[in-house]
Amino acid sequence: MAPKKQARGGKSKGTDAPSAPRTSGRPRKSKSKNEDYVPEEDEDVDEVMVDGEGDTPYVDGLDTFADDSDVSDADTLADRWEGGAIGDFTGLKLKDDHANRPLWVCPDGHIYLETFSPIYKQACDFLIAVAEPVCRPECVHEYNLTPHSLYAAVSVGLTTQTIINVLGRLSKAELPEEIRDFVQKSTSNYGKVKLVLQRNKFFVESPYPEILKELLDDDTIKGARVQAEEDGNGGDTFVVAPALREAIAVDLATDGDEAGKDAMEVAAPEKELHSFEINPVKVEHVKRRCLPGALDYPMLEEYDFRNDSVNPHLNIELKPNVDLRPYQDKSMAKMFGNGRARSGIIVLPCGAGKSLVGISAAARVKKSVLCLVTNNVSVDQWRHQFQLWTNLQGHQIARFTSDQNAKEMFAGASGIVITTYSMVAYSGRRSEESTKVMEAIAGREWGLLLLDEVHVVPAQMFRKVIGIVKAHCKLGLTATLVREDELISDLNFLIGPKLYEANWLDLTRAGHIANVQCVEVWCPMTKEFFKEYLRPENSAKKQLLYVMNPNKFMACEFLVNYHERMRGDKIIVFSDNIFALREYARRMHKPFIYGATGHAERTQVLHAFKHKPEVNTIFLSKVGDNSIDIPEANVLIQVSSHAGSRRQEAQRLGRILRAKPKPAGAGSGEPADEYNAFFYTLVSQDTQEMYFSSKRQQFLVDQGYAFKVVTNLLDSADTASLQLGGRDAQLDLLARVLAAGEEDAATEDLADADGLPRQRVSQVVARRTKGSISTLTGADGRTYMEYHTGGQRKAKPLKRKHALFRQRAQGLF
Amino acid sequence: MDLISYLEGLPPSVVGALYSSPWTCRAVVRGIPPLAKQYVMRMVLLDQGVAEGVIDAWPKASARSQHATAMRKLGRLQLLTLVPKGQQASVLATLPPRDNERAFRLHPEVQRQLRKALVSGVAAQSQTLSQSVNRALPSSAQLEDHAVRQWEGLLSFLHGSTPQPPLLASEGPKPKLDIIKLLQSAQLQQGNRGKRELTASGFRFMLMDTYHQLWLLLRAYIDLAKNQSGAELASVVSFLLQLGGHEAAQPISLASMQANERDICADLALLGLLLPFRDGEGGSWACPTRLAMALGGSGSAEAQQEVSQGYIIVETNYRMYAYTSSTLQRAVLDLFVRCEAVLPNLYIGTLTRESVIAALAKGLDSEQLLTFLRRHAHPRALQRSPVVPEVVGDQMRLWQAQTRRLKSDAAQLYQQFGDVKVWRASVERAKELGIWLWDHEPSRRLAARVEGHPQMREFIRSQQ
Repeated sequence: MAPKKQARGGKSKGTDAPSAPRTSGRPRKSKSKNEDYVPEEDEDVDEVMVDGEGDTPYVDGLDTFADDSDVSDADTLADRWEGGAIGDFTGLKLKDDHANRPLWVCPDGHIYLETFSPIYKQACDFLIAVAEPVCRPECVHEYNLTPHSLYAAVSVGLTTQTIINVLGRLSKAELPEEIRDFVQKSTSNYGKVKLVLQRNKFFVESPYPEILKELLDDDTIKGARVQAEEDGNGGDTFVVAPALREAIAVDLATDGDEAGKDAMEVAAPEKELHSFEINPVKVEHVKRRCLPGALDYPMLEEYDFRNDSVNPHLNIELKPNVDLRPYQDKSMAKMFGNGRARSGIIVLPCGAGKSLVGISAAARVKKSVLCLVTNNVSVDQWRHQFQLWTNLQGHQIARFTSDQNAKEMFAGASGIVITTYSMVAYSGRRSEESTKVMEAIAGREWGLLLLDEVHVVPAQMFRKVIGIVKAHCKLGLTATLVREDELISDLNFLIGPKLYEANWLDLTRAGHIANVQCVEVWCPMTKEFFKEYLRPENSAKKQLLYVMNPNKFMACEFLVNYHERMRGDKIIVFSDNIFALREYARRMHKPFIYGATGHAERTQVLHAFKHKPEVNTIFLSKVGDNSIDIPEANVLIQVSSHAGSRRQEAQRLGRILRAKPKPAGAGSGEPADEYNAFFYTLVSQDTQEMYFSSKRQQFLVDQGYAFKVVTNLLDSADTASLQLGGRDAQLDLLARVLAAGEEDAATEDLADADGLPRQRVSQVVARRTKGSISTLTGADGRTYMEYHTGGQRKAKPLKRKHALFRQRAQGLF
Repeated sequence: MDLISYLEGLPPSVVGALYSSPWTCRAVVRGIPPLAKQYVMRMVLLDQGVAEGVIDAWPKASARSQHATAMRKLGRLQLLTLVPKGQQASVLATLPPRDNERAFRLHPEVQRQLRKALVSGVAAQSQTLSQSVNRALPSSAQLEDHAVRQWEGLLSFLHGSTPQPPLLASEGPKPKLDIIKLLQSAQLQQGNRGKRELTASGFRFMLMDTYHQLWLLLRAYIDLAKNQSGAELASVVSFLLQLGGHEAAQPISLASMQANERDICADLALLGLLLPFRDGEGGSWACPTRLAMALGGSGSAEAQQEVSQGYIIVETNYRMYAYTSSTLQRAVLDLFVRCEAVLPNLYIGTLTRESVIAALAKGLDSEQLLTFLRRHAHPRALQRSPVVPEVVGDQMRLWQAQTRRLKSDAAQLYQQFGDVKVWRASVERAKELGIWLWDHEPSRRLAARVEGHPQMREFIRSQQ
């Protein structure tokens, strides 16, 4: 099946596209599928509501919401727009001074922003808050208004009127009627009601008393209300408090000089807050009643951590020398805009200091923090980061992993626990210590739940985790909020709206992340390999054939030699295919890490790579995609990859994005356009890879990256000096490839979190056995994390090879 | 197509006749490459001519190729002529004489015209206009408006987005020009009135700059005029160039012209080069527009800048933003861009593989597309280098290269060989002749290039 993007365009063709249409953007839909966009969702939701009765209320509520979000996702204006494939908006009326205004707002919800406008910065900050960035290259950025993005905007305190006014002010043309309606419809009910946890009591809070009255007309909510004792008659009086000032909203609504005071007025029109208390036991019912389809006032959750006297305080401070970068400050400002902590997701490129953002959030909240990460290596890395940036002592930071020595709980009343998603979601038998820690985790209230790399974990897993852990505030961190299966939209409701998303190009220009030269190297298939590739009986081995293409190997060797010897770089080579990984690494005498490599050995290899001058290249399988932090690496070569996954491409690029120290002697005057990191993708020409590679690059291309195509890399190289330069060696390799078992031909079977259909024939897919554990956690095959406790299923058959490698590796070190 | 290449294609006698007009000389000298211009200026005051060896010593070693181009151009345009054998002695006196060394001098007529221009100025024919003419003189906005309306009307008619060729709204003599005939004789359009379509050169034409478009059309116009009325080519060309040499908004009196010149004026008004008007006393006049000025200004950079204002931004993600509200420009972009949205003053599209390949299939060339994108780059895009992102340029060239991966040879298939020996011998023979393409033993078939068919037929016959 073709990746989503293509399918939407209505011309899906899945296979050997001989060359790469690397073009941007979504094709507009030719015709909307549901033109009338409101009524359908009522029926849907009702059904789900009835069906869901039996389950636990918490998870059920979330389920309902998530299912429903699919409906609301289809509500984007683009879907409604009936203008055909080409949006003809020539009817818009340009304002006389349009040259001075930075935006075009199309009736279908697309927004185009000129980056060379004098008020670009303000306009950009505002758009990030209200719209979804589609692509952000150099001169003109594209955004899209969606219900989700508007939800996020409302949750940081912007009001419907502010959004419409500011959009109107920035727009070159009169704001289309459709946009006004859309913003109004999408936001009129969002953000009006908040659920606030104060002094361990739940309050429903709103600046609009009439909405609270409307809510109280509902029996469920009426029943959940806690009556204040002195207020005997239970009447219509609410607790009234002065309104909070939404600092960030006022900022955003202010676009430069002219509109300052105007914005102040629209951003905080309400002077006071009304609230009533509800019974903590009935919180979930209340939340559910407020969902769209029922009362339709989705609640925003905020945590008034300053007034929380029940949960113990954690004495955590950032070290005085820690200096947040502007974009980190900005994301903090979005999260703590009104003095409370709101749940949500912060999107920053890899290497831009996501962990520091998480840690400073923890330092603001100053309560116990549960930090969920993807694997054991990053548990250690997070622990290290906490120690690096804050005043916390080792005993206050506990690790809870499958490792026997890491089943800790912090000593005092409050602290930090770092663990993996699978540890928390694991539902099989646990060891005694493990059970104890889990009980402690489930039994307390957490001030902050930090969720690292939220894009890798399917929504299913989150539901489970959130059902287990009681947290006042959830902060998700990620670099790439894209998934081929579009499970992302659920995150909006499970964690919270996207609070901030940084612009990659801006960060590159400011020097916060490395300036990467992206290169796609086209390797022609050798005659013999191509012949085999075309044979129908080899369809199961297609992938192995194009990955093992001798020209590709030579290109890889050439690049490794070049960067090691000429530039003294540190190189990571990625291969999803384990057969290729082993073959490449052995031929080049380099260490490699894959799913079955033990934790100790992993640490050892990574340590050697970081610190030993003689180890300059490592080979990684998929396990290296996320969160393995290797700041030293600055060259990345991708040999094989997971079909058309945009996320994987971006994550891999992230491995080399951490800003590189300037070379000694080079002054501050380093030209901004000089590349200090290199990202190579080796692609076998005329194979499926060409097609996938163009799909994969989409995300980065939208972020403004340019992929340079090199077709003649080996022309200048002396192929005789490379292995596999001779025909005999190539034929020998071909024989080995054809003899390889079908398991070898497959990619490594890690958590297939991307939900992409495998590009193999069915009998090979059958190898993927679904264990009950992984199916429940939604992390099929993600066993390497539980390596020591349960998941040795996969490790056993590989033991033999593993040991061989160990011997050889020892010789090398 | 421009003036220079047009003149290069003319027979020597005609070119010689053309040089008697100061306008032609001026336009030609403006149009040649800078180095050639330099050589002409060096030689303008030399009567004897210069030995080839001396000329060859002029350029720096690094400029050899420019030198060769310049010399070739000068020769083809007959700006440089060989000094006859008899007079060589005086030329070569200053240098050690070499055997058979040639010597060049400037074309005498050109030399005369240039000297005259140097001394008195070429445009020094100021005319005093009467009050009534001055009052009726069109404003520059009117001129611009007329030029744009007529020219864009012509282009949209060519492109097919308007069904009718442009008409002349203003007064003055009625043009006799048949636009459809003009376009067809320029090989830009084919078919009849009911169903017209762009030819490959028509597509290329759409992407050219105005100067080159003008010359291509005018060339066809000149040929047409010659065939129809037997007008003398030299006089038509000189007249055109004379128009181009006029100062901005300097009106020309039609009354003082000959009948055939007046016809030409009417036709050019239709194309938007001239704006006819009448003075208070009923006298016919015409005022050249900037299009006519571009005619004499040659393809120099300034001239092009005048003609068009940049409006295109191409991004690294293959997105193209064009600041335009002209339907014609949109139509041109539609030739090779997938349009995504049109806003009142912005065209948003994407360069996709499909859209570019479609354009290539119509006879366009990736270089032409890139030149077009560069030439019309928005001032903002001009600030960066390269103007069109490198990846986009590379990719477009790659797309083009991809279309040329298959090579086709006309071939002859031989089959039904009775005897395997004959088949084998035939294969050998084909290989010997260097025309072998393919063979297949089980079916005893053989394919060879069609050129070698007679020999192969001979050979196979002799074997049987």
